[in-house]
Amino acid sequence: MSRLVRVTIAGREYVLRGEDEAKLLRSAHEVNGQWQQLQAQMPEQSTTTMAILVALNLAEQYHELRAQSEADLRHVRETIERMVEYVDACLAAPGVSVQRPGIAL
Amino acid sequence: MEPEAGAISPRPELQALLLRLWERLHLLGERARELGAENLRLREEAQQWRDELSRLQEQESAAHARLQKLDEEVQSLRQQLHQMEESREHLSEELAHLRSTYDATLEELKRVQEEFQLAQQELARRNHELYLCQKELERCRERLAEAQVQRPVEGLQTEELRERVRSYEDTITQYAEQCAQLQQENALLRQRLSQLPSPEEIEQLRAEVLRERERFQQSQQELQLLQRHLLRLLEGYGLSVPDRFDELIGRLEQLQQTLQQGLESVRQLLRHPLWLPEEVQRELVKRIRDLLARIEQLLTTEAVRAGEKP
Repeated sequence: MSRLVRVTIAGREYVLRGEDEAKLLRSAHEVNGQWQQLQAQMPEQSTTTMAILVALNLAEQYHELRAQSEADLRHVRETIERMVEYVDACLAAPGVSVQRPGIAL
Repeated sequence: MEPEAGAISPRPELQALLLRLWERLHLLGERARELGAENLRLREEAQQWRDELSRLQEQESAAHARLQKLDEEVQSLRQQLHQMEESREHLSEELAHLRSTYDATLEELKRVQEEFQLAQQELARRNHELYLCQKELERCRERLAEAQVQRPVEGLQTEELRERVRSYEDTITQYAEQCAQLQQENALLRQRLSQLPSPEEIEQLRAEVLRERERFQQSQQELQLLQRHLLRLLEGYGLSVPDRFDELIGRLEQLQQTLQQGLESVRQLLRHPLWLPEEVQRELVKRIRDLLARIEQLLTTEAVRAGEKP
């Protein structure tokens, strides 16, 4: 059930509707934090410019996290594949010692 | 916004977690290798147990065949013992009969010989009397002739002499009849003596009695040998020595039943599946080995005793 949530971003109060109130509050807090950080660095910029810069920063953070997540996922997949090969080798020759594969850190 | 700098590495905490996972997986692999080696060793041990089981089954079959052979031998000995008992009894009866016949024949022979001697003495006495009477008759005849020649003779003396002559003639006739009767009795006695066994036949009968006695003693010795052999068999199987023949047969049957029960228990043990708990397997193998050792000991003892048998 969607609920109404009252948040404050860049000095203005907004009433938003959302399913997850906590996530909505965390997102508004993140946007407001970015806004206040940029405003402290560039107090002469207009509200529109500030809004675009905040949006660009958030987009950049999103891409970095996505790339990191893909790298982690690829690493986990490769590691699991080597583990499966190792387990298959152990099962294929019971009683025989299997060489431990090299681990990429 | 900063430009992207090169390839992105996985996060260090993620790599550390995966490294720990690799270490755990390697430990599991080593454990799996140990378990696999243990499994192979157990399979080899199981195969050895199967081979041992097969060998024990072969030994059980051989022991069973040996026991059957011993059983047949015991049966044969028992039959021989029966036959020897019957033969001994038959010989004993025959010997007693021969002995009684021999004694009766000897008694009869003695009696007939005594009668024959008495008859001969009586015949000699009668012959002597007859001789005397003939002499007297001859003398009377001479006196009669002399009296007839010397006339005149008184009629009374002549009658008296004639009467005496008739009397002597009657006596002579009576003696002659008695002699004839004695001669007939002598003839009968001679005939009876001829019907009795001759000294050669009596000697032959005596030799036959001696031979029967030797056969009887030999039969008794063989019977004692057989009984000793059976008793050694019983002692070899750990049974006490019986006092009677019926008890001996009972002990033999008891021995046969015991051996059959032992073989049946071995068969029951060998029918069990191989994969049992280790304690049960050890107990199973121990019982089979004990039983086979006992059977082998019995067979060895019997073989040694059979070697001692004459």
